[in-house]
Amino acid sequence: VRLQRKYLSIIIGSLLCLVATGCGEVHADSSGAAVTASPASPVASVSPSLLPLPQSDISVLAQTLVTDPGLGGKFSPPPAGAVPSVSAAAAWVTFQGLSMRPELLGQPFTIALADYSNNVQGPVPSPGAPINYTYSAARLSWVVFYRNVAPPARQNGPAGDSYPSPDPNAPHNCDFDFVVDATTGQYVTAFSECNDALVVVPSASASTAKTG
Amino acid sequence: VADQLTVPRALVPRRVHGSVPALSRHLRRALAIAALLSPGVVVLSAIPASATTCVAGQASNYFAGYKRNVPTGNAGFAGVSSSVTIEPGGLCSGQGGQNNFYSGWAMITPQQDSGYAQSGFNDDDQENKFTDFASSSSTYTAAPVVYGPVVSANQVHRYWVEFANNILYMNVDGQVLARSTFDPQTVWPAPFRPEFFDEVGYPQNSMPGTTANPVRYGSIETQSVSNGSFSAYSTSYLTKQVSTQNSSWSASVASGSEVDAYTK
Repeated sequence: VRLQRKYLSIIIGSLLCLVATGCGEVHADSSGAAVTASPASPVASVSPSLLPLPQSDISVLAQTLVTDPGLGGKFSPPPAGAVPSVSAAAAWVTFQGLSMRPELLGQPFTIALADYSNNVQGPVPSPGAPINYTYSAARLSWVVFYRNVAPPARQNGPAGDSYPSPDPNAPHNCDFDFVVDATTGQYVTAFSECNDALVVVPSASASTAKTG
Repeated sequence: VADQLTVPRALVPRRVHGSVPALSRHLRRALAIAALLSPGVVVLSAIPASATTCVAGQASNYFAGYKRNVPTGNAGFAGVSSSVTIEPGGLCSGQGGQNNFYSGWAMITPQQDSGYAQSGFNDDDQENKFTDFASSSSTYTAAPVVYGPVVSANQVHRYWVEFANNILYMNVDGQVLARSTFDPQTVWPAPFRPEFFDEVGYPQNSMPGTTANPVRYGSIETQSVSNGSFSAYSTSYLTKQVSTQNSSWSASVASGSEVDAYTK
């Protein structure tokens, strides 16, 4: 069932890619201005000193995803015809430039165009105010998705606790999602979750996604 | 939620491009410079050079800072807060992996360390705010983490964990970055304990801060569980704890409401 979902996701993603953005035809220069490059180009040009971004790694999100409710993130398929102002290649440069999880570079990933929103992040609520489960307005974003990767730096936990070094041969089950605003090119936020915390929201109920 | 389907590995089309070697530190530095060109992105202006090599097998969790060991008296803590002066640490070179980090944070944790909620900064090459939380000690390694806006050295940010609406909010300055999905007052054994620490992942790492420019955990406050208000918490109640694997790591009391952590 998992494989069926995976390949269905690939097929839908590819179709949406063709419909929505032309699969990487839109690129941007360093100023963020959109320019058009040949879709036949196998590798999005970034910089000689940066890792390239193969066109095969670029897609459009096909399913609505939500993070752990404590983090509040939601990724949805973008509207049909949505065109980013900055390219996936530019977002990839931003990801590498911040070096947030440098050990992940070189591992399999996908960078997908998506609508990003959140129902946790925002101004600190007034004391006594009810919990706000309303999602923020969707922001067209490029999201770098890593799957089945190691946990992030293990800064977790109180002082005095010590954890054994991770077994390098053990299977990893963590996700890492890095969000770049597809209009401004700026880094937005990132999430790391382990133990299958991300869930898929059926498209029919995407607008009423998990709120905790 | 009944209509949700857990399919974490089929979220997006997954494609594998060729294996690429890990970036050298020189290249990572170049990338950091490239990031400077991105509007709105702030990175460290200087990063200490690595002087030592990470020793495989020594990756763990090492600390320098202060905590309340055994709360007595007014032990009804619900939250914690500190305005932290951010300083860089030092990373070791070689096979550091994800354990090659330094960070600084404020935390509230229950008895027996059976959970935690923290807010602070973290660095691999640049420093960025982070928060994470765990409802129990069994979930430490799986605790969800959110990365906030990038910060840089010498900045002061308020890292705080606030109890309200029967949950914990993990905040940076005036912004919520994450919230717990449980009520700590019913899940965690009381009394809770405040902690303020630098942390690294290898004995070869330098704790962030130096003697001259320490990471200062200032304006230390705890939140009362009875009325929800934050008030100053005397450092005289705090106990120093410094891992002994590196004699250069240190911590000291700066004033009645401030503690420092650093590498000598």
